[in-house]
Amino acid sequence: MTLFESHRPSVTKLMVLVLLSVLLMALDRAGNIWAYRINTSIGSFTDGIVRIVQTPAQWGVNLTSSFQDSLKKNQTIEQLQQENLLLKGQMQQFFDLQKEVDHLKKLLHGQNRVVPNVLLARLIAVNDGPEQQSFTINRGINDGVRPGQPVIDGQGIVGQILRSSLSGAVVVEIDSRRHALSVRLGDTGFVGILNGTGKPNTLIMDRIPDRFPLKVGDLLTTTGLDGVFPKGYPVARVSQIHDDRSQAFINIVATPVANLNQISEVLVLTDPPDAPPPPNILAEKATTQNQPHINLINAGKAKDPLTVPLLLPPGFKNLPAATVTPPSSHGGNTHAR
Amino acid sequence: MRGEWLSIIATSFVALIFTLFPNAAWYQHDAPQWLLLTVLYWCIQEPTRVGLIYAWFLGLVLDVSTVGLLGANALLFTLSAALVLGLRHMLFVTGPIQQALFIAGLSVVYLLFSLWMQGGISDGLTVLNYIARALSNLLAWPIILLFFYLIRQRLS
Repeated sequence: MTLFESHRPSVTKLMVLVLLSVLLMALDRAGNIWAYRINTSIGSFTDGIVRIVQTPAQWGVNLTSSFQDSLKKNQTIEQLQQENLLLKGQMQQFFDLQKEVDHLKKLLHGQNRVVPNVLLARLIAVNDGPEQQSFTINRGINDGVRPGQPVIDGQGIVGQILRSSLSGAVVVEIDSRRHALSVRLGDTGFVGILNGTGKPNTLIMDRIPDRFPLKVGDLLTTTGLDGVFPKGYPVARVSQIHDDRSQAFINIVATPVANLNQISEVLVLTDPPDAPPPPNILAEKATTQNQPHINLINAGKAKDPLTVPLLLPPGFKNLPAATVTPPSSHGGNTHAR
Repeated sequence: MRGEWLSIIATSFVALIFTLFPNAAWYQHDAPQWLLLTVLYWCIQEPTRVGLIYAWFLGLVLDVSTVGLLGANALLFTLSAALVLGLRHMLFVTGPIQQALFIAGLSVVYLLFSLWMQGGISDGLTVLNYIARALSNLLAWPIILLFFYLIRQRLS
């Protein structure tokens, strides 16, 4: 046995490895491409392990459900059918509304609203830490999942994709300490930043001017300003209001509407409609040309810059239509890292 | 020779699975740090094969799989392995209870550093909660000693 041999570690090796680790930490914090590559490549391996280990557990769940009482199953099916009918009925109202909205937007030279592509994903592992609440899903790069894409469930926003590998992707939840998103406060029109706290199901929003009428239960929805989450999705409800009259500001605590405690399946918006195009010159050009008032100015310049009024009635027809459509974008900047 | 490597890699792999798999929140928070314990065990038993580089690599794998800061666990794995390798003469001859106590003490320091790096220290109770994991490390060490001894007997 190798008892009396010396196996003291060499100091040089130790120093090199320590420096390498510190360098990696710095690169990761800075969001360097190499840290991203290491993360994706080793992540493909570890997510693969999770996925393989998860498979028999899923078989077990399927097996128990096949032994379930058939009466109960029929009841569930009936209940779901009723719910489906109800939802379809409600949808019919929206078809008409959608047509109306599209028509109005066309008159205002805006884009038509694109229905986002959604991808159903199953949760395969939970990895919580003091820094962030996150979980792994069974869809990865091959399914079109990219970092920065929003993740929702039946009720509202769950989080966003933090890392995507060949065999899975990691979703960071909105209640993580390092997560923030832009929200609109109920009907008040106030737009602010909603921060995660690291405590489960607790979100905070600070320094709201106290002239806005607020009450417990108000819904916070996404604004689309952060470039990650599309506009109009429900995020959280106000659960506590800390009103300090001497400060002229209100701080609120909100609870996510999505059921973050019991996630089993989520939806990934693989083509979020409001995400900004990638930051390059061509894309910037495309977005400016798409703004109707820029078109108005350009149209005026082409003919005679002095005689054409800048403010035109909405029904004015002689404007050149916006020809360049913004390229569909993936990602956007994540607020999580 | 080949059996040694096989048992080292197989146990590391199983430790990784045990780290990743059960999804329950209490397990994720309070389970023993299987991967760290495995690395330290092999550092004590097979220092010619398992050294700093192996520890660093497994730390990196743990970082990626738990989606933490890349390199944080790698650094702490390397330092823990260096300490254990340095004190190996002493650790190799002590009984399992003393060994377990030493490893648990080491993991307290490990956990404190890890918490500090993640910036998660908010109040004393959180820290105590987090440190409680060292207790499960203490209980897990004798199990690891027994099972790994059996595996080594079988494979080499």
